[in-house]
Amino acid sequence: MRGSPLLQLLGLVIALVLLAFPLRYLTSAQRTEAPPVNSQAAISNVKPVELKLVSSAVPFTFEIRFLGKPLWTGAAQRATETKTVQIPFPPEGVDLTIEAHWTSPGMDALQVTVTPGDQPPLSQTLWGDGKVSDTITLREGIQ
Amino acid sequence: MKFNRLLLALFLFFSVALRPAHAEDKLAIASFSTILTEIAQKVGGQEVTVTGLIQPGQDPHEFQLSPSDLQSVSGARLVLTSGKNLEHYFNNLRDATKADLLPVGDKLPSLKMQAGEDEKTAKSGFIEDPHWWNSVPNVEKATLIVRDELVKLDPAHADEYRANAQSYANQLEQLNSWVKQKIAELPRDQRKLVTSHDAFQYFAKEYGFKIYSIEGLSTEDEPSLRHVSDLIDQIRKQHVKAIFLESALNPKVSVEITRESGAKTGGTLYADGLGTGDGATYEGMIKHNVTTIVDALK
Repeated sequence: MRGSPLLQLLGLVIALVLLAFPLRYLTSAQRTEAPPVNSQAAISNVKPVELKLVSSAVPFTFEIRFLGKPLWTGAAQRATETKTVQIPFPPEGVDLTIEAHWTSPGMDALQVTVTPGDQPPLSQTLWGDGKVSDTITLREGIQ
Repeated sequence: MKFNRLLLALFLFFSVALRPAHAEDKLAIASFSTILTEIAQKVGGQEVTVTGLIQPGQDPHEFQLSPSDLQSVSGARLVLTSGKNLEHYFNNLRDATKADLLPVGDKLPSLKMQAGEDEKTAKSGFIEDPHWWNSVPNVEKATLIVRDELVKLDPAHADEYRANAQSYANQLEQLNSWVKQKIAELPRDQRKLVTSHDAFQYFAKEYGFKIYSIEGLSTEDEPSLRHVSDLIDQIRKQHVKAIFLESALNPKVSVEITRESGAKTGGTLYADGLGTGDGATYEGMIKHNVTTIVDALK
């Protein structure tokens, strides 16, 4: 070994310091933050969805809630009402909470039809005495 | 003297005729499930006495039948068990009691699960999932099963049992509507449930969740290192936001997986029956679980 021991020591210290950064990166526990949940997927699933209500009696009032928020509220004088909304419609389908009230006495029915984009329509019928209140799932394969 | 005797006779007659129903007149029921204890109390009302052998918060997977339990059971005319092979001591119980033994879950549709290494009874490699109570409609069906058994054993009070069962079933229907409405706040593609042990399949099937469990069906199952590693990968790939702990289990492995996967701890769930606090009643238990899950995954 040639050169001053002091210089040799300095060289060793510099080498160790340079090594410390990659070593620390390789050996420390990594905490991976979960990316925002399916935010990209949810955005790409947003499509125009036609909602259609067909009631056995008029007049009636209704509220349709989606993901806990009102999506369509109204007081209908006609038996059929339609509206197009922009909502995510993933392959797993959607849940809609439906509430409707009739003033006429006796059993009434409300057919809810959902047509997501260019897909075939999906529908369910709710029956109730003066009112209906239920949460329905609409997806392909469930009618 | 005669008058005194007459008075005494009248007193004895009325004291017997008008006395309140005593415990010995009531139909004695023993229950090996906290959920069934509640159902039996609701359906039986004033006409039954119910002894719960499994206490709230106790893990039914690890329950061991003791001689004192058999003493409690010996006076019962009806013994309720969860069924679906949850009670590994069922044969001993059957041999030890003359009471009617009703494994309620055996009368409900089953979901099959891959058997763990210690589940020797599974010849096909699959066993029945015993956690039927995590679906509210199943508890409604169980209520009717208990009602029919009480009517059979004590036809004199059939009307009371039918009325009580109808009233409790109505409550359960309202509860199920609430559950569906609350879960509808969560997009269906975000319904991914990571729990300590595999107790929520009936819940998942009923309300559209996908399950990733840390342990197997029984709380006695230990997860292998490979399973834990695969699960962490799944949690990352599926962007699962939260992992849930269970009230009756040690959270050590779950907490470690939570740390490694980057997810958060979503809260503690009641998986194996009633507990204390919010989970002291079935309605409270379900509302607690559903609110905890929805709020953590939203």
